[in-house]
Amino acid sequence: MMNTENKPTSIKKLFKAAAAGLVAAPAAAQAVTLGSVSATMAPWMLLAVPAVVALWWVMKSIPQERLKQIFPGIQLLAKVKREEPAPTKMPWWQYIPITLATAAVVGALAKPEYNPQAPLEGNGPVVLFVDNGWSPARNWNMRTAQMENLIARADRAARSVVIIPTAAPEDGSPLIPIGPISATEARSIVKTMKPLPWPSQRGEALKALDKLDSTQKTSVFWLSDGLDDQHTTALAQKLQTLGNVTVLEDDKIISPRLIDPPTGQADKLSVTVRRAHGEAADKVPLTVADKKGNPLGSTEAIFKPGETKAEAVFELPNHVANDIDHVLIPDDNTAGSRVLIDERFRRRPVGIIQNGADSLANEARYPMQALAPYAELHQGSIDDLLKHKLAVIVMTDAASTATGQNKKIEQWVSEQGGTLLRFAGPNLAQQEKSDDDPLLPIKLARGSRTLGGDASGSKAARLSPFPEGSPFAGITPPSDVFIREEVLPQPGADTKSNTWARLDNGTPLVTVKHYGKGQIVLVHTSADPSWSNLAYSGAFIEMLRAVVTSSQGVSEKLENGDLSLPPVKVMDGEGRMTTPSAAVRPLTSEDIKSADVGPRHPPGFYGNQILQQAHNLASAVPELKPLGKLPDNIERRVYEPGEKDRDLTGYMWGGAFAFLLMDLALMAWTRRGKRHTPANKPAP
Amino acid sequence: MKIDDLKARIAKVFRLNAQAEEVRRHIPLHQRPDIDLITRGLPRGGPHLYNKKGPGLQYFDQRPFVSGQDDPRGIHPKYSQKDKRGQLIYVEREAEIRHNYYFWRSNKPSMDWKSEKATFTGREAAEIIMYAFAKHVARTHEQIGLLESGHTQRGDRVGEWMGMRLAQDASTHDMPRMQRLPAKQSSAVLISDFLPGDEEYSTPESLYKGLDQTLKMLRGQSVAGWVVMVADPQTLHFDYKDIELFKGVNDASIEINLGKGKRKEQQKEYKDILAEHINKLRQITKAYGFKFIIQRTDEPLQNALRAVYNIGPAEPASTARMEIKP
Repeated sequence: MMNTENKPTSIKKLFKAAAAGLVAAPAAAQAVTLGSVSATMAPWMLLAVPAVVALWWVMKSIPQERLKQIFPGIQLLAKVKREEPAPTKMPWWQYIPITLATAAVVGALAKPEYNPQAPLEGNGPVVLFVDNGWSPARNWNMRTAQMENLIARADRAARSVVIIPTAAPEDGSPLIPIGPISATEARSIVKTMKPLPWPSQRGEALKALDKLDSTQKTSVFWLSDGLDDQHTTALAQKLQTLGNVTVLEDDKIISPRLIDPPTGQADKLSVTVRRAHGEAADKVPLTVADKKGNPLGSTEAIFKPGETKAEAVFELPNHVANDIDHVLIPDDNTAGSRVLIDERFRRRPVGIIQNGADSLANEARYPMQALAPYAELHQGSIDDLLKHKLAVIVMTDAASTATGQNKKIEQWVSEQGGTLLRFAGPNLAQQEKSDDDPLLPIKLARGSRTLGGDASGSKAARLSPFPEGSPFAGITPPSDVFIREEVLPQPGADTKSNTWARLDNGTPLVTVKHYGKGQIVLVHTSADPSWSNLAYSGAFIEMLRAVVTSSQGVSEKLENGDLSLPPVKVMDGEGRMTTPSAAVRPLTSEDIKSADVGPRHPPGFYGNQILQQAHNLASAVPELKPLGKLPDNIERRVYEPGEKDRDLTGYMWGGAFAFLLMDLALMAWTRRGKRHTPANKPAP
Repeated sequence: MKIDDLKARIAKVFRLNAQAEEVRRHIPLHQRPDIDLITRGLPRGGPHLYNKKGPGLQYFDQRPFVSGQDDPRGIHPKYSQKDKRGQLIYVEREAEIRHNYYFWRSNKPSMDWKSEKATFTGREAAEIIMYAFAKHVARTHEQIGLLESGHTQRGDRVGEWMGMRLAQDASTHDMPRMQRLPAKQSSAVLISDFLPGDEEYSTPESLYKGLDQTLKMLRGQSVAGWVVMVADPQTLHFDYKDIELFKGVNDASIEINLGKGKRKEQQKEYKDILAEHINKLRQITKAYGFKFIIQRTDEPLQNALRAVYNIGPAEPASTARMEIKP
């Protein structure tokens, strides 16, 4: 109870407190203009500050309710001396929580804002033009935060939002602007928005802009991927017609990187990495991995200053070469940072026509042992071999007469694009030559020529250096290899174009003929040591590998065919392999040639479980260059993590709730164990 | 063991415990097992109140006959014959153990109060002591009675009889109002908190007067016995540090505001007043041949019975520790 004698003094105090509050209110209202520190969307609510002061005073004035204790010895207690009790007031520290809670409520109603930014220009819907192709994936979180921030600003200014993505939607539908929509809807769209594994289509986006109403000037934010293309300038000009344009782009350090499909074979893969900005030196780690993602090897692509391309070579053991599935840049989760590898880069299947028992005397043993570490070998009759998908068929001299099924081989070479590697020998030398034998690359003279014998009057021939343009170019011809016998072409049949290797006497050693979709290669000496010691040398292995490499492999045949390959697994915008959606269509040779990478054909593996064709993003990105000069009056900024204004209203409500709970806890603590009531009478 | 079986067993144990607790709450005090427990170790023959010569039949002492003073019928022939000096030997008899026990406990509202430090309310403590004592002496075929009504009962079922009678007792007075005087030479047990409270004994002085009158009336019937004060620990210690305002149990309109400034001094002063009060009660009871016992409600109730049987202290050691001394 309030002491009546104190009333006049208390009223004076009340007026003083109210006056202090009124003085404080305009001071607080100035916070609107404090700029980068704080702002308020409802400054008039600061007039409630005097209410807080008044509450403080009232709480200080109200006597605290005393706790009463029942005590049976009350009559004895009456004899105890006692001081005249003054009205008890709440201790000052007990009303701190409730006062702070009230202050927090007032603060929440004033809608304060931390780090406020300049108001949005214009009065139309805020336009968010978002590049959501493959390249922004590396820094997508920053874009999401930026979009949410802009939407929040639009929300506070009570403006709607238009979102225009530039990558074709996943369902293959045409690009259209989303909106104008409310901020709430825009937030839900931004949450589900993600980078897509194909390039942005700014040309299509430019057409979509025509559908927007440009009569109301507004703020346009282009959340770009930092890459340039032929539509950039036109697009910037078009955006300027809508209002004030701000372009946001990535820092040069995190600009996108793209891996081109590798060259070479699996045991020596060479990959090229491209980047948009070439100013600084950079090292890009690369990993080659199998289907499960287990790393098989790693290397680095080193960019020198000023270069936008760097090459890296993986030297892998032979036993892992067939397990290679993809090359990727670790921690760089974009569709461009993962290149898929298919059969063309793996060990190729080679068939060796078997004739007779597998013995040391068997001629086929020499090419078989030479190719075993580098190719997937199959042996058997021609009928057995043709059941497999083969890149190369090796036909030794003994096999050429044993099979007698030349027609099937001819058909395989011409229609399926295979490579027939043939070796000469006594059988071929003695064979009746017809001019139109399809399985010989050139017309041969009858018989063979012996070199280095006493009767021949000539020396055994050595290999001459391999000519440029030959698959054998780069192989050093060994000096200790001597060819003692060979089959010779008819005069004039060998030309520069159809001869891959010659002897030092000028006669051809390896000749080739393109036949149909494939090729036929003839080694003019035997595969075994009967005519030469070539089979004993390392050059023999290198030459056979070069012939296998020159073949088209087995996947290449699909490109040439009229087949359409259904999708097996496709890549998402963050470089992960996923199950293809219903919108993904089978891949045809036309799609491969036109490098069609989009919602219909996202990067991934196409084909079937046995034979798969890799479809990579790099083929659709011929050029990777940074965003160039833009028209004047366009503000260009880099995405910055700290650039965010924050609405503090929620924090204020939370604080008010927390202070109320604190007050409750304090009250419970001060009253703990103080109440005693008479016990109930026991039951009779 | 399967998990479900284990769960079922645990649930059963908890359920049984809950049932036991529920049943215990509804058991009348006179049927509670602790009544039998607290009488363990007490002498079977009843309290030896009259260990002195008197008109009883038991042998007490022998001495030479004094002519003109002693009754010649008290001369013991055998002892006189065996006496080497040839004197006549007179045998004195022990005073007879009393056969009627009367009980009374206060039924005023403050007996239902219990502080957070106590185990029992005053009423619970008083009734448990009464039932235990009554059942114990009833085993030696003594008469058990209630002081206010004067009715007595004998046998194994005195607990039930007493419980039924007490349940019907709606009186709230502070001292027994005897409708019938008790039998002569009987014993009485009076149990209360003996704190001034209701209208009749609202001051300590009136309470002393009331007690004096009651004991005087009993003494007129040659009744002796025990006055047991059941004391809550908080009424003894007055350990309220943060509370300023106190009100009575019997009359809630009485409020006393002590303030908080001098609580230690006030606590000491209260203890002195209480010690004086207890001392006064002790003096009154002693004057009429009664024994004054203090039973704390946070200590085993066996203490009061042990004091009745003279095998334990009349006042608890803890009371001595809190410096409430005569």
